[in-house]
Amino acid sequence: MPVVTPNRSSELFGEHLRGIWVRTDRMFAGLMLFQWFAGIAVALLIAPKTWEGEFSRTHLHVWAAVLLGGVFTALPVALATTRPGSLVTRHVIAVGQMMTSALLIHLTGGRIESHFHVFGSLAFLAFYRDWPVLITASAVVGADHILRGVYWPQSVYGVASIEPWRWVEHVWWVVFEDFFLVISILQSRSEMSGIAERQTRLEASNTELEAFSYSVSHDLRTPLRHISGFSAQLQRHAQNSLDDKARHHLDQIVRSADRMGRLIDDLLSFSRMGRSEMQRATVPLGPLVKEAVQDLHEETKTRRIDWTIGPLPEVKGDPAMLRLVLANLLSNAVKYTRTRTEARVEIGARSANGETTVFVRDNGVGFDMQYVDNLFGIFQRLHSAEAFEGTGIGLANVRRIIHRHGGRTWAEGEVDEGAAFYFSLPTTAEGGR
Amino acid sequence: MRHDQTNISSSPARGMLLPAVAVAAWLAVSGAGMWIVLAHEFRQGLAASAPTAWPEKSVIERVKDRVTLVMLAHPHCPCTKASLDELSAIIARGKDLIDAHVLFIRPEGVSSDWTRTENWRKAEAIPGVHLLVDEKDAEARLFGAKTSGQVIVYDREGRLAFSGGITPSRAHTGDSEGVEAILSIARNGAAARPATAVFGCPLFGPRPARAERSEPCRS
Repeated sequence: MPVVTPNRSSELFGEHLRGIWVRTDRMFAGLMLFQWFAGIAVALLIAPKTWEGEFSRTHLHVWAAVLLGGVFTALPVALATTRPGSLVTRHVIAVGQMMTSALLIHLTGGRIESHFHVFGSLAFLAFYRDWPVLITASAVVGADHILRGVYWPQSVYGVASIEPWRWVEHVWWVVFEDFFLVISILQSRSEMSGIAERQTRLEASNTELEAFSYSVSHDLRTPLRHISGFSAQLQRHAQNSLDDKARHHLDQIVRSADRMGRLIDDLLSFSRMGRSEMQRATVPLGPLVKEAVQDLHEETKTRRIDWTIGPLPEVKGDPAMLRLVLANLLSNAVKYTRTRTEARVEIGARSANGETTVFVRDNGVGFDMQYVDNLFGIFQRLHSAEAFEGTGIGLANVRRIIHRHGGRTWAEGEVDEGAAFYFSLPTTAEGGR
Repeated sequence: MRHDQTNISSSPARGMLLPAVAVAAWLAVSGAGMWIVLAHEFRQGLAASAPTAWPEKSVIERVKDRVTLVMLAHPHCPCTKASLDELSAIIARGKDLIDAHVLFIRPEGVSSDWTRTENWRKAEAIPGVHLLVDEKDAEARLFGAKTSGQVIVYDREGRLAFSGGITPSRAHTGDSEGVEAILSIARNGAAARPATAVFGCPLFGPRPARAERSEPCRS
């Protein structure tokens, strides 16, 4: 069993938790803005004006909804925008949310139904999976009840003279909910911890497996070189003394050894692709595509190929790796349009939903979509080596590189109608490894 | 191995100075704002100077087999909705014991439909309650009321038994001493607290002839 390093496990757990905090901060920013506008709408609907005989003016509730609601919302939203995921942000959001509850209860005239906002808010705050946030929120509710109980007891208890401990009864129901939410948070964190440990084990297994395949491939090269070399020598020296059948067998040995050599080299390059350090840079795809097209000059100079290259954006990633991706896709397009008298290859990109998608489309031999899942597998080929040379490592490398950038790969095609290969990259540098 | 004690949220102290100042200022402004709103919520309206015996000049005909409850209401006052909700609760609990009247003021110079508001419709929906338009505020002045939501209760003998509000604060429904007092008078003939604070809009506008004014309904 692979060794689980506590640091990596903690790192993964932290990354997961930080992602939850950032997402929840953003959700609360949206919610609090919505609540602010809803509060103003409620004030305008229920009490737009205050009256004094036949005279009226804007009700204090409207000003409270606009100004006080704005104050309650401003800092939480500002922090969620500028410091998402930080400790101070989620605690400020907890305070702001509970004060918003108090304001909304006030604006609706203390209706019992609006008190459910408090309990709903606590449940929503539990999304953070950080129980001290619930303590902060509950402390606001407790302080509100204690202060009201001291200065305006009617507001909480309906009567002016009450027992001083009555606030405990009200806060108890908040604590009651907190109790179950905290249990849920602790269970959830425990599950997240388990996921982090399993992911660490998986990563360790992959690393060991890659090291093993690298080592095996590397060690296989020497004996294979001997087989290849001595077979070639035998071919040269014993050519005349062998009969046709023996010469044919010897040719097969030499060809197979060469092919095995190429497979081992490909396996090593695939392995290196997963192990090498990624460089982070802003990469303009346009020049990269042009270079890749130029590199194919020797293969394309005798052919008629119509290249269509659309506007290509800049992306974040490793320049050398992305160059290899484009080289593989364009090389495939050139290879599989070989049977066409006039080949067409189109390269383009579009950006949407936080990712940039690049495609390479050709009018080549295409493929049957029922085998699409095999396309990006290592040493998987949909055409015979006789028809189209290659080992089936190119698209596997493409997928591995794009995955390391936090992106996706997919393809579409039809037999004899061409194919289109796509890869998407996140527009931010996050997600790569 | 568990990660509950992970310290991934820690930040350098110097980077926390600005947020700490911003948070402190925000808490202070928020707290002060909430305090102002609550202080207004509990600012009482002017209490009525109700006659100690039933005013015979009233257009309301007093019944002798039940206590008589009179509520003076401003048709537009948003706070009075809560008072009408509480009146509805009183009528439901003190059925057949209370003869209730809601008088909506109609100052001089306003249109005839000025009183037909949501408050009117709310009062109209309470079973058994009599509604009346108080032309030129005559009845309100007769009962000495100054604040919308003022409730005055006379016992079966026509003696003043209760004068005050029936909400715990401005525009807020919920348990209040006024409700309990009125129900006690209806059932037992007396209450421990015959007067409570009233919360609502001033019934009368700021006219030079009137010296007394009440705090506008603000919360």
